[in-house]
Amino acid sequence: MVRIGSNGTKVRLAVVPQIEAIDWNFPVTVEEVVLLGRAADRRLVPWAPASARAEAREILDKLGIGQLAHRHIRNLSGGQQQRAFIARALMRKPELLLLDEPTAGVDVKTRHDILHLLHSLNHEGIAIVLTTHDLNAVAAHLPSLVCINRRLIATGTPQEVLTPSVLSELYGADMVVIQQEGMLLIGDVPSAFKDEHARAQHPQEVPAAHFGEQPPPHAHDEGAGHTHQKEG
Amino acid sequence: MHYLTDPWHVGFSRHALIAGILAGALCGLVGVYVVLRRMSYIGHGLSHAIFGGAVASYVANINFYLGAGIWGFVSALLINGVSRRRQIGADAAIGVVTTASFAIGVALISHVHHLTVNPDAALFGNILGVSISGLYILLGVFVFVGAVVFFRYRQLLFITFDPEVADAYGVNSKRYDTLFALVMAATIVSTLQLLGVTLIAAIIVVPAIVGRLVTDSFGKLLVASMLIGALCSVIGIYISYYNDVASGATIVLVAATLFFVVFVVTALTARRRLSRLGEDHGSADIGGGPSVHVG
Repeated sequence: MVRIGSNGTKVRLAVVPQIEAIDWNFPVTVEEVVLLGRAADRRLVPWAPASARAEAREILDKLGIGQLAHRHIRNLSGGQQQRAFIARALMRKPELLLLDEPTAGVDVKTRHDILHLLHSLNHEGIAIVLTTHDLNAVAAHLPSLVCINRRLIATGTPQEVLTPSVLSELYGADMVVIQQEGMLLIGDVPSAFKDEHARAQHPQEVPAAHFGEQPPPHAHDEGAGHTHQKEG
Repeated sequence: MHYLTDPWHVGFSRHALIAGILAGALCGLVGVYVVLRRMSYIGHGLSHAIFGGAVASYVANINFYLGAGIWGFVSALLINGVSRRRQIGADAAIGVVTTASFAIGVALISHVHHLTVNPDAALFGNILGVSISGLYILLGVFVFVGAVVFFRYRQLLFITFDPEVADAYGVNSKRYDTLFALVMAATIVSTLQLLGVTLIAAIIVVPAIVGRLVTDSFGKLLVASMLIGALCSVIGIYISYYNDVASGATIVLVAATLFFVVFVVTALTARRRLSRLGEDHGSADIGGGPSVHVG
């Protein structure tokens, strides 16, 4: 349980770590990982009760990996690994689910599936907070964003937050935001090409004039901001 | 057959065999957590640290188990505390804390001239010289560690597997790190005089890595590692008894030989399985591939 908000309301929290931080050679099966969601339960014997096993099985079935319960965690795909850890979190019956980069290092279809899964969990009443650096495929599709780079920079919907000025402050570099048919696209151009592009677009101006609130269409440098997204 | 039964009829070797079984199983059990937490060097380091505590206890005229036990526990807590700093890490923390503690022991030996302690016994161990009180202490520690592992199985599994988020799941990682430090200190203090400062690390690490080569299940690994530890000790003591070789060294050599055998056998088995899979795929391609009709 953690206390949140100004009135200190208690909520049941579960955390899903970044899958890249997990030791995938650790000798545990998917079911054992899921049952760790109840590790804090007062129980003297090492084995889990039948009710917890049934519950774990139910959650795994719901997430579509019930048939993999007895498989070693190394023998799962990226999406299945992420689901196994979401299943462990669900064993705690969380009201608030925190996920650290849930789509890092997964393919397009897996990313799509994970976001759909989080969306449906959110509809079941679980508040979801996740971190991501993926602005186009993840951040732009979530209902609420919080941008943090050492301090709070902006909060709001993707339309409100994903603007050149916010992104510039967030990443410390200029970025391009394109809106097309209600869709947001955030792009960048390697700095080596920036001056060349600027000269081609505006031959009468010096390139530095394009930095700031209204960046040129292709101006960008590498940045290191964090975008936290909230669902629910 | 009498080769197997003879050592059980002689008092000192019977005690050594019982101590070997308990010490091997205890180190094997604790070793699973040590290896999986990637702290394999802690056995080596902590035994050196406790050497400092043993000398200090002797100088201060304090009971060895009490003095060295507290010293070891504090050293293990210091390692935990220092390794929590992200810039440092567990391996460097072990290096700093334990060598400093060992150095205190060496400094005391060189400074206190009337010291009659024999460093060889502490460094290389002597399982054949185990006392009845040493045996009871070993049994007590074995029961204590066994109870901790049994009653706190899931919590210890969690902090070993995924320590970063343990607290978010209601598992107090600091409390279990402290409990683990106590388990480590008790294990090393109770087995130090049997296996020696320099050899104890092998008995902690080898059974767990041999077990890891043959099973992917955490529960089975705990049992396998205990059995392997006890088995290596017993075989080592038999060889030592009949060949008049140092017991600690013999146990380590048995464990190391077992490791190499299992390593080679599992590598060959894996290679054979891979080549069989390749053959199956090859024949499936020939038989099941799409056919092309011309004309």
